[in-house]
Amino acid sequence: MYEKNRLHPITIIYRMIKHFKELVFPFIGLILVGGRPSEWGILTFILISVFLIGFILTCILSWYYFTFYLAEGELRIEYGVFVKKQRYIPFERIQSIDYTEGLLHRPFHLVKVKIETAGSSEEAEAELTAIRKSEAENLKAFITNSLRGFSKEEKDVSIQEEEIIYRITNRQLMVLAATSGGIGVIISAVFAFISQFEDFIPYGMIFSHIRQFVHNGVVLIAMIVFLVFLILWICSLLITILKFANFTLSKSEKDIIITRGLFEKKQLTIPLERIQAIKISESIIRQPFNLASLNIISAGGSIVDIEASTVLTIPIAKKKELGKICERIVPDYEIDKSITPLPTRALWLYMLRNSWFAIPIAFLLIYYFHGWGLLSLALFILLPFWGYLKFRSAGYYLSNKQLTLCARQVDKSTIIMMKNRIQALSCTEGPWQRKSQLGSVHGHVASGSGVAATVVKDMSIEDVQKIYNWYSLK
Amino acid sequence: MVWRFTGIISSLITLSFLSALVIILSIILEWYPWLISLACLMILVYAYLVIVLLPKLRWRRWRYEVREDEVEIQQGVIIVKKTLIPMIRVQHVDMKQGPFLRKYNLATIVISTAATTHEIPALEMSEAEEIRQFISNKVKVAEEDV
Repeated sequence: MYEKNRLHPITIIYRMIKHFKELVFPFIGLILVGGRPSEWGILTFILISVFLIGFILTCILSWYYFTFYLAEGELRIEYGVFVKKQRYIPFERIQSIDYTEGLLHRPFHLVKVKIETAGSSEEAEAELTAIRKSEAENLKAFITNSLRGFSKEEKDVSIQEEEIIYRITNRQLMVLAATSGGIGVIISAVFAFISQFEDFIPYGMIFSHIRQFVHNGVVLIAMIVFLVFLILWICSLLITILKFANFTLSKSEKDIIITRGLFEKKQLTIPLERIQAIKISESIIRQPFNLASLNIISAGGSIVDIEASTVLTIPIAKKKELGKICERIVPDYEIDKSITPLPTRALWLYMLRNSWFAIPIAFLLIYYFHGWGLLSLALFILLPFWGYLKFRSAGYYLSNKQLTLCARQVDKSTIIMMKNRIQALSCTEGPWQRKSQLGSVHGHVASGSGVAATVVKDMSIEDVQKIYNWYSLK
Repeated sequence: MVWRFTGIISSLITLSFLSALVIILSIILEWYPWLISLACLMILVYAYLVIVLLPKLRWRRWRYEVREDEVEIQQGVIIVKKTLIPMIRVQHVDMKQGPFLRKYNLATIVISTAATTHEIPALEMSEAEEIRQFISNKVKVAEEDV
């Protein structure tokens, strides 16, 4: 372990693929601007080949100069082709060591090792792109052993006791995939993709086609829209299945360990002491079936790694089961408590706040489209109803040590915060709220290196005062 | 007073932008005179709000209290916001001073927790220094928790 190690040579290919991905769009752009490759001059070809060779060379060199070794209770990484960089990470600073097995790693029994540290700056953590699995195990064992104060000679790989708490069943996986909101993500991805080529798409032509199309009948359009949505939905279904297959949650003495993924196996470790709050979210599709998911907001991770700050811990479970599982992971948090609802006088505020912006929209639509614009009047039924739903979901629960806040945007989320993890608490009071003696409570907890804020609007002023006094040390 | 200065500076930019917009629009679109005068009037009202009225109200509403083990801040003209920050959550305290504040010997205190930052703007220099010292001493005593 003391000699300098290199990563597995597969890193070169891995890095090349990664950089190629970033280059694809500029390259396509180049082709579109510069014409077909067959029309290029000799000079362009030479330039591109030089560029490619240089690119491959950099990948090889950066692999060659990347070494890591263990010495004096530190993990030392040295890298950089022209500018040499050294990063020494003391074992005590290491929060977690996680493995990821990608498609490229599998055939060679390799893993990607990610080492997270307590510091939250952008570059605090280290990543070993590809090392042999046994090597990774050794590394981990060595670090944990030396942290526990074992003699360094001791070779025994003592595996920490891990208790499996939750494993996703096939049925749950299917339900999860079917109800996942991934459609939105895919749509936005498609838009992002299109926006890359915006200059090259002949919108004028497309629109004239569409105009013809509209004449051909509304039914056909409706069918196509439906079909597109169906395809998107199936895509999101597949993605979710790939991502969450074999989802397992286990708990050791100090950490929560999550492994998931079908092709790319990912492992994630959350130290228990870094948990800042837990969040139960019930998406609007799953709520009628009493299904919910659990997220853990932790202070780990860096700025770049958002995934590590809010971790989906239990993707889907019946609400009752969720409480039981939760008790085993984080026994301090009280889950199933009756939520104090908002006073009825808050309802009209919720409805108004939700629907006032429909007025200019409806006005404009009716002004421009006359007959069809009247459809926008439906907003005046839908939006207040949504407001009513928000009102129904909101509430709080307060105990000696914990504050639970419930609110809904589209999905209902319940955030449970311990008093000693709340970084700051504020309450606000607007002029309308003052008239009907209401107020809002904002709770802030640390999440990653940022902040997770929750707000419940329009609680009765006595309740706001109660929570405020509860938090105050006066 | 300084509040008004910051108000003037920040609004001057918006104001000049707005007036430029009005001039350009009136030339291009050949606006009627009454429309132009209406626009000018609106700009004047806006200037009054930003330079005279809002800073005054803001200043009147700003309250802060540094207690033994927590800081409480109140702010807001229309929406009143009260914030509690326990001393043990404070990670560090900054004091900052722009050119205007320096001229009037004032300073702004910025309190950061692991998640949020809070400002107490435009304090007397001596007072700001005192608060900074007080909080940082408190923080030293407080236990490491997050």
